[in-house]
Amino acid sequence: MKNFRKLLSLAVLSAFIISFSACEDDDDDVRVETRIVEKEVKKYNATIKFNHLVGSDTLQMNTTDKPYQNANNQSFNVSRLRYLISDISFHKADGSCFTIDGYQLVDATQPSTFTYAPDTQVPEGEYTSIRFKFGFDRIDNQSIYADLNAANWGWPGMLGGGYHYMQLEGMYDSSGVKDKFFATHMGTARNNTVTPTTFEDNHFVANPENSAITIDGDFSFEINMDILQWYENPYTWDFNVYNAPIMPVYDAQRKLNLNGPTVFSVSIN
Amino acid sequence: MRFNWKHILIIIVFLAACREDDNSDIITKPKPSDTTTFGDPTPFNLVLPAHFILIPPPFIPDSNPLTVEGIALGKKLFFERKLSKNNSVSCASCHHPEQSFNDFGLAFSPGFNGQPSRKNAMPLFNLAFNSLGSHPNTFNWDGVAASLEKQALLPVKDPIEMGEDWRNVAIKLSQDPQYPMMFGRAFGSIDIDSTKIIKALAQFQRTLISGESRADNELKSQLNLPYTGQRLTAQELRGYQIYIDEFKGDCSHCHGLGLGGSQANPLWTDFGYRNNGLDANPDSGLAAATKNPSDLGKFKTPSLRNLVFTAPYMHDGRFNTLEQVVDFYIDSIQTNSPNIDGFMLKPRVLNSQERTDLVAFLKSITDSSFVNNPAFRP
Ligand code: HEC
Ligand code: HEC
Repeated sequence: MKNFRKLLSLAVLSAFIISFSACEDDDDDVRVETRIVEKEVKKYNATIKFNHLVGSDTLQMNTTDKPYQNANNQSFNVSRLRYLISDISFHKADGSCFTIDGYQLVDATQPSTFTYAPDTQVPEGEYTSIRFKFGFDRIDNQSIYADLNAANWGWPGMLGGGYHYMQLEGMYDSSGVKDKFFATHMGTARNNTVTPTTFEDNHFVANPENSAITIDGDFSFEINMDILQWYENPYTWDFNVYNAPIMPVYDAQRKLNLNGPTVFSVSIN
Repeated sequence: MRFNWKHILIIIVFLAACREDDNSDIITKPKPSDTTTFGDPTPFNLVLPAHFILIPPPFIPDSNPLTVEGIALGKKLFFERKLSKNNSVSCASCHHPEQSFNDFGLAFSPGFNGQPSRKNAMPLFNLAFNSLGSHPNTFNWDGVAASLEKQALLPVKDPIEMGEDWRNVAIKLSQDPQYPMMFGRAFGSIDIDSTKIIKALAQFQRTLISGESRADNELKSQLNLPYTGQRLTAQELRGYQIYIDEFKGDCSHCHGLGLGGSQANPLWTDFGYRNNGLDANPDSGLAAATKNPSDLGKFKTPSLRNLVFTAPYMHDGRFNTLEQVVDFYIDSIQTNSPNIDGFMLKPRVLNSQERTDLVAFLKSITDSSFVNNPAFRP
């Protein structure tokens, strides 16, 4: 019994440490720890708003013309944009962090999805940065999310399964090519150039600059996606090479992962 | 594929909680003029196939909870010819249980006076799950019905389908020896009106759950759930690979990953409205409901369950066979159709063996226990 109690206090202590250190790991421990923190510090509600930009313009969906231009001088429009953000985390100068274990599927044609108000509250404090995952980490990607299943958000089993991270689609013109369809879908990267085939976790952690925030009450901030950045920096995307289909194309999947981190910025309100 | 039981447990707890709420229904107390008083109707719990845990629970509106008495009344009404002008057709005349609640192979089912309907009748199953997506809880090919209850208002007064006045329906049913008591037991008073009729019909239709087929067995085996009967053949499994392959069929972006393990959608649709490129000048479609020109030509994405019973296919029943449907998707998409879905604009190349395999797979999502279910017969 005595031993058991010792074990328990150890568990509580380590759980506390886990909460503010092991941020990138999605684990149920984090949830256990949340309850402990509750007694120690005040916690506040977060409201996150999503904005979609093309360079400095607000994204207009379903335009009849092709108002946007990628770094490869190909003009395009956008007819579908759906993407998944998960595990928003708040980081402190000492390296510890707090993670909201949750996700939001944003659909650019449904403004109701532009606002995300997680149930989890965030402990007060001074944070030096806000980060989040684009898509799901390996564990979440294997779990059951009924609303995502019903939205046909799954990623085919032959490509490693899990969920889509993004569907970005539209039409483009390039020199000599008119009105071609592109479907920039992102998810698990299947590498079938090696034997046996590997399935690579393709999510990334966005770590936008200037995202320091002091939380001392209910708060809100905005996550901005610049569509152009999917197609440049470091890799200059060519719609003629990667139009549709690209889900089974390993290079395309990895290049999206490399281009991804500069796609996002955060505005603190 | 890893199966996460923790999430299952959470969902089960949630479901149980919802069912408790079912008791908090609004029960109209019998009027003083009624000679009989009725007890509360008995709450009814929908039994779902185990793998439906993969999708959100069915939507049962607070204003119309499922009850044993309400469902029994709804079933009787579904087969009731008095709902039509000359007492000639019932809902079941176009929605036969043995055809997965579709008609017998007609593109346009005849209404009460033999005139053909304007659209192909839709099969009826898993309607209670149609509560998500961009136009949740909307019914008919073009989404004009804003709930399952409101949908039932339309066929009765439709000049082609049943051609009847709702007041006449209420009068005819009031004169029947059985109905007044059945309405009393289901809704607390013997008064009959269209609101109670459409509620009872919706209750019955929400019990039409289809989730047993060899394809469902395949999914259950992926999830390590018990199942009885066969799984898919090698050919059908090849067909499914074509169905999900972005280089080949790429059907799953709209009709869903039915065999996607923990990420599967066993409904085989997301109920979304889309233009799949049937016509260069399409019918109005969803724009009839939204008045939005960008919805022109978009129709509800049908489930791919029970297709062997529901020929001919599409909103106007233009294809008699699944072979024709597959050939259409590979060879004859009208790419210039307004508001055509992007998924229709990329090349689909299938050789004849692959087409055969895809059709074989489509036929495997056939739920015989659904069409033979005695609970759905009069
Ligand atoms: C004359 C044939 C006919 C009769 C009778 C008929 N229906 Fe239908 N049903 C149809 C057709 C045709 C459609 C598609 C209508 C459309 O999209 O405009 C349909 C669609 C439906 C739908 C929509 C399903 C979905 O997935 O969106 C429901 C529900 C339905 N009917 C229930 C009923 C009920 C209840 C009755 C009796 C009150 C009834 N029907 C009587 C032909 C009929
Ligand atoms: C862009 C989304 C989309 C894709 C991709 C798609 N479908 Fe469809 N499907 C639809 C829509 C929408 C309809 C109804 C169209 C109508 O009737 O106007 C439909 C209808 C059908 C029907 C008729 C069902 C019935 O009850 O009438 C079948 C069968 C079908 N699709 C099979 C397939 C197959 C096989 C593929 C892949 C080769 C596929 N679909 C790809 C959206 C899609």
